[in-house]
Amino acid sequence: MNYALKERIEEIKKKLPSEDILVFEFDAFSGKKFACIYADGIVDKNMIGELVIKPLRAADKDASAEEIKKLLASPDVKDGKNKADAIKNISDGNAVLFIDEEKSFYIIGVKNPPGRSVAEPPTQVTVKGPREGFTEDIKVNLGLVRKRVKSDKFLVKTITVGDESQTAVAICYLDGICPKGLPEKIEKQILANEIDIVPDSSYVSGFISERPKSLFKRNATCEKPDIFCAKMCEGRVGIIVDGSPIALTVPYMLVEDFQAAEDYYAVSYRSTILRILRLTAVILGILMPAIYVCAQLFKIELIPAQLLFKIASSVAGIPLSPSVEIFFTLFVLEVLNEASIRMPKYVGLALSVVGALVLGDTAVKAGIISTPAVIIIAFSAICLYTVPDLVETSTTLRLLFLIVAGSVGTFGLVIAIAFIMCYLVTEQDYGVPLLAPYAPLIASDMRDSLYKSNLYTLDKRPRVLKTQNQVRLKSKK
Amino acid sequence: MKDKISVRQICFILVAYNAATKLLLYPTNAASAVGNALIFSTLFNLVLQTIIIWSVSFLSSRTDKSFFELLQNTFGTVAARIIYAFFALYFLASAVVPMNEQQLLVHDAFYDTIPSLIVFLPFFIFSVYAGVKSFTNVGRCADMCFPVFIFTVACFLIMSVAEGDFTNLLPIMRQPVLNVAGLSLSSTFRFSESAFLLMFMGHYKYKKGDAAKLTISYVAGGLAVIALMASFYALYGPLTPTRSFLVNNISVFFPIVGFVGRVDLFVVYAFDLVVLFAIVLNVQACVHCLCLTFNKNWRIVYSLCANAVLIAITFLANNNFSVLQKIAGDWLWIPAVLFAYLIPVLAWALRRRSKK
Amino acid sequence: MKRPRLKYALSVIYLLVFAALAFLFFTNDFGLLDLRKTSVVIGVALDIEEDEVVLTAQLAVPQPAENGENTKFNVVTGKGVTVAAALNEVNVKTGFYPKMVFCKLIVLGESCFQRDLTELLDYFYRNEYTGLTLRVAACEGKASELIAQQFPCGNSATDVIDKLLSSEAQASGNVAATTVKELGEKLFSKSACAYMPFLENGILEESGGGEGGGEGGGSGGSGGGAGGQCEESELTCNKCAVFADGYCKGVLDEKQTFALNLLFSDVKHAFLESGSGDEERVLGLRDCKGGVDLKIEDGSPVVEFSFKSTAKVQDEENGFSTEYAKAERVKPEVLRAGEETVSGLFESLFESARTLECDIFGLRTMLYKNYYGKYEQYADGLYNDVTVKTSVKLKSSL
Repeated sequence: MNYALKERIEEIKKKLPSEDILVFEFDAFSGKKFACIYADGIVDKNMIGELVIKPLRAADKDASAEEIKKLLASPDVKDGKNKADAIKNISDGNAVLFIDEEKSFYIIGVKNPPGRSVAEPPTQVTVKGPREGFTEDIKVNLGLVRKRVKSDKFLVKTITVGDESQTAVAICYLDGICPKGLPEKIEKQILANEIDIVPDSSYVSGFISERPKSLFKRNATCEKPDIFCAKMCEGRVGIIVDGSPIALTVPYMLVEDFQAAEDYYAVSYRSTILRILRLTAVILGILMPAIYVCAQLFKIELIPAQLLFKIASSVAGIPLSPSVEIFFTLFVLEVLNEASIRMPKYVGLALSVVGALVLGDTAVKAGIISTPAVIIIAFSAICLYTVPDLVETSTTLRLLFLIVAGSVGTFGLVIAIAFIMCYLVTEQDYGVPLLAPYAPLIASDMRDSLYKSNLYTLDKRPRVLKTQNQVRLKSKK
Repeated sequence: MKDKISVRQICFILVAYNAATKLLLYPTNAASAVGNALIFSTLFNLVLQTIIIWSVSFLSSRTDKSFFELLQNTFGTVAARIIYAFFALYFLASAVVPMNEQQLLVHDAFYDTIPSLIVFLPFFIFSVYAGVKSFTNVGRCADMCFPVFIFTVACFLIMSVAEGDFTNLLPIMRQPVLNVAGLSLSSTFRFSESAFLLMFMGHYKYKKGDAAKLTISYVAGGLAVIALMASFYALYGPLTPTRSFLVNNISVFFPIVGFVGRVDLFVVYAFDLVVLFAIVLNVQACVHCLCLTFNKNWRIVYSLCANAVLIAITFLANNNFSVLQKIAGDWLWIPAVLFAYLIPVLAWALRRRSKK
Repeated sequence: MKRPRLKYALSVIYLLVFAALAFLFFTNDFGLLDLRKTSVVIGVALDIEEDEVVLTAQLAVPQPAENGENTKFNVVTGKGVTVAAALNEVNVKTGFYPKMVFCKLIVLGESCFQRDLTELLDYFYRNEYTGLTLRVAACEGKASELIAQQFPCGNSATDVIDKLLSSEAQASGNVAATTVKELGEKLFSKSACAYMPFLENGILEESGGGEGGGEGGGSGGSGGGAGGQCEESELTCNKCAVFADGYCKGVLDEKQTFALNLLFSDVKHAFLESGSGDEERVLGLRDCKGGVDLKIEDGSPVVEFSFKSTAKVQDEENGFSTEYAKAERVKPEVLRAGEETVSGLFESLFESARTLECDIFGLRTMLYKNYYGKYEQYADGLYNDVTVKTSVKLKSSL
């Protein structure tokens, strides 16, 4: 085998011809030749200079590969295995050090990709409680988790997904608590998929779900390490994907979405009230447009007489039928919503004015849509955002119920609810029913469901998760 | 154990589903037949069926075999399959009356004017979908329906008790005994929950005291029916036969309904959810029987077939509700007595091995 | 291979169902009635003309309004053999299908008194879309004229009458309000007797004040006649019409109606005139509890009218009495006088019931329910055989 430096560099360049793959060749005082290969932009060049080049240049006598490794000042030095390993690590943001005429080469951990610093996540803002949120960097995220769970039971298994992206996925769990075999099952599910790129955790979410076509969310997502750790301590498996600030936790139960981080930092009765409020708001948000259409088209009695006259005055002269009117208003809302998210912030302000005033007010004044329709849709939208994690599902359901209500009427609406109930009870992930602890009813798990009991009564982990160790709190009080 | 269901879930079924289907047209029919003695007829049926329920649940304590396995052990597979085929037909027939009453309720409570048949058809989409579900899912649906049932029944009672005049139930036991007995006999098909319990046998793990739990649950459901029927009669007195549905009419005199409109209708709709699941339980039991009859797990096919029959009956019976009620009252008691009274009792005579 | 095919078939089915729903959603025509194609009936008046039912419906017709409500009230008349036929004519005349779910009032004209009430109101008992909560009242003259009357502040006649019959008005003991359900319950009971408020519509200038003896009964609003000329009118309903076996047997006067209400209504605060001559005073009665009970004592039926209440002197003919006014206590003799007045009212009411042959107290029903075995024996001659007892207790409110 030829271990000449030039040829090895050429081999690497052949596989990684991109111009951002840089090669830095240098000589030591002893005359030994070295080459450091790395991807520009994702390594810390200062670290290469300080921890690799500087000590090696200073070496004044000829040394073997083993001795050279000892000279390196970096704490993160690994032996390279083969060419593929070298290429993988360069792409991953590490530097590879080749030594002229030496078989061995070293991988130096100098990865420093550009990224955000730790900040409060925009979708899980809390008034009370920790504000740190995950970033796009898996190492930072694991650090944030490790900062909170210092136990030796905390295990991380890292796998790589994506043929081209080579995205690192960390499967985190607490050994001795997490149900036996669950992390392995999840790993198997992820590795069973060959895909070119995994840009976000939502891809992994699709891989690990046992019901990928489900109408409802497949996994719980969280952007905050405190929630992530709490869920791991309950016996769940956490998944952090490199490049995604959204971590996943498995198995998922629907009730999780109604539980906010703050609930655990506030008094229990307040948390219970808030959870019930969220549930009521979501149900109202989903059903209100449908009920309004039903009331107008099929069952006028649903509206109190005095309110009926007000509504009747408002809708008199509107050219659209009640169902189409609501559909149109909902359509406008969704368009505005979509546009306001995508548009630059400074245009967003103008859009709000155009949306709210021009479209809303003028459409009402022009008699295209009625005031109650605007009120209903606006209130519905606000209601749904009380549980942001469920917005994708709830907006779909809202549309579905609206179409059923406008076509089949009140009975159709009840049938649709029964259908959804029946659908929900059959859904489960990794043996955990989506509607637990309500269907099947698990009384002990209901202490932290919609009802939030005080901390002392939450002495056991959720039974439905079938954890290895059930006890979570022993109080001498 | 395949197709597991828990005792708690069966209890919920016996409370909620038992009561739900009996609160449609039955109170009005009973009031027209026997006036204020309506609760005695119900009580008589309830006591009889409770004994059978206790008998079947006690039988479960003696064996962990399913009813099919017991039949198989005694008469052989072919005979067991034939009996299950008849059970499938029975469950299908049992679904007809509540389904048609549900259709009438749709006319009365869900629409301001009588809608076309088309609005009732989505029921069959649901029925096909739910029909394929296993007992595990049946149990989970019961878990969901139970709190809804409790809430709705509590609402109905709260909204009616204070408004009613319970002296309307007087004088007690003054209706001709023959009328009361006749009503009891013609309503036998409404009290046939023991047939479901036979199907659940072997699908739940019996623990000590479960027979009592199941029996008490059934009685609780029955008492809820009696309480609501009494309240309904107390509210309307001699006008009760003119009001088709208890659920739709029982709360209209509650003061808040006068102030804010028919908010009670939302309670009716919530109650109807339980009714839907209770009706579909017949289809689910029918599909279960067909699976064992043909020894093939073609649930979707069986569900489609069962619902096709129900759709055909719905089209035939459309606008002929009274005829259907008459036929049911005159004839349906015969299979009900056979499948929900005699067979459950005779099940004790089947050969069973000791409990594992 | 079978599973993907089944899944494909299911997907196609779901798609077809969704397409069908979407089609229905956007075409939106099932022969059903929506809010915009409906006239909301808020009250109906029934008269009989040439053996036909004349139904005058007060319709609420909402007008387009950007802010708030703008409802006009129209009156449309239909004629037919029955109420249903008359309603159908309203439909023909307006083009709108009349929706009865919000109807809160039925006013029966005097002409209806000759018609069997159960027959006349049959439509309301049969129709599931019409609640039994709507109030029923009778009126002097033509009901159609009363309901067509205009009232100030945009109030419809139905609203004005509804206020007169409200539970607040009932709490004063002057109005014997009833609903279709209560009426039916009584008419179909063993007593076969019911009562309903009787509305009187008088022109204020002509009538020259309220009805004599009326204990502050509801006084209605005033309204303008046709052509926009405002004419002060007064609507009162402190009398009640009694019906037996479906037919009207007479109208009870204000005092009898008041006595009836003390026995059967939830009276919260009533005014009672008691004493005579110089001793005349008005007592305010609070926490009233009245009732009728039928017993069989020593083999003969006894009816007991009971009434309990706290009393307070509202004003006196003799003026202010410092001795009792200080402590606000009511003199025992005043209380006794009040008790005698109430007892007298009950006895007078019973006599009227006997004369009119109307079991307005529901004694036969009570006999049937509580003494079933004696029903056949006493039912027919009950009002002649029964011994009347009154137990009235007034106590000072302090």
